[in-house]
Amino acid sequence: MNMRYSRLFRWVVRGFLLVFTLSLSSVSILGGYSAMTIFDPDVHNVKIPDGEITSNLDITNPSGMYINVPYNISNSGVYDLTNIELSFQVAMTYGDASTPLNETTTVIIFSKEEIIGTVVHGGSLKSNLVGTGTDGFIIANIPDPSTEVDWTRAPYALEFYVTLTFSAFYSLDLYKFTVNIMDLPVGHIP
Amino acid sequence: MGRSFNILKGLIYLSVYITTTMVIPFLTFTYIKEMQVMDVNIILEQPDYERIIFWVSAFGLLISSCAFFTYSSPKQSIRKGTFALIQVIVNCLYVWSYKFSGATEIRFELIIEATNLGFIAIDVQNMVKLYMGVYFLTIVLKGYDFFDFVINRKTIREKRYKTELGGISKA
Repeated sequence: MNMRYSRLFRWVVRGFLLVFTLSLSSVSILGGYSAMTIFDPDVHNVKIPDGEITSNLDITNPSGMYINVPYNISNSGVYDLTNIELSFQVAMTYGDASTPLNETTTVIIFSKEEIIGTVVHGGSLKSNLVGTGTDGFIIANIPDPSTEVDWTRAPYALEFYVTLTFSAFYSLDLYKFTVNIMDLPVGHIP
Repeated sequence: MGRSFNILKGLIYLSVYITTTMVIPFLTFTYIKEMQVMDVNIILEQPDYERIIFWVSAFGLLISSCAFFTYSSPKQSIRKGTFALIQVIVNCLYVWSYKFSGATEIRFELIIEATNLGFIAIDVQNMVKLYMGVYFLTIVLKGYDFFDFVINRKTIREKRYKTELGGISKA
């Protein structure tokens, strides 16, 4: 091939490379900077729960059980937060009265995943994750309160723990981040 | 003069590649290995850290040595073309090593007073894939260079000797 054409070819490819590399670098830097502004612990842009979790975890009446988790997501970055998913689980620890030594047992009594979608840059979303007896609670896992729960267990007969997972894509879907908080004590009976 | 200059150029690029492929990643991962935000320790697990550092160092060394041979070889020589081509392939493996060493899916444990609270995971696989796509252009360019140097070997040599005889060596 003529040397002039080969030189031209090299310069064209190098030009494309420069443009792509610069674009990629700026997206990375901006993305990293924005993520830092969103997750700045002093600003609280992502608040889950945003306020008190209200619930009725009375296992003697499973159909009347409910849970309400308020959340608030503000996107102060430069890219949209996409594919936001929120997963919420409640575990219950109790003494299993159907075993000889009333063994301490933990069961998942509530599990719900909510696909929130997108929060555009500069926007915010304030909502609630709601679960009721038929929606989210795993009735089959709830022990029979009269025969399977050791109500004399110390310090509490029933203890409730929450596991929360928040995940989203950022920077034109190039980054995915997941935050998981597990076994956070949220209450007990009595 | 030409040879010494080439060796010096090779050494300069060797140090540039050691810095960019080994020293900077090492310092970055060592820095983020243990952080503290609002009394919560954010910790990268030790086996993960060691695996990432091992693969980054291994491929970083290979890239750096390839860079030395590439940049110390005479301009437009087949040797330069060959080492440049090997270097881009090793570079691809280096980028890929971030994926299989787990560096593209980093998981930090959240610890408060010796209690594990949960984790934060960051997944940059899509970013690495996009970078690999852009890097494909470099592979095309180096492949093209290699074949160009082989096909036009005679012309390149004639031109080089002509310049050297004229007293201006650009090697």
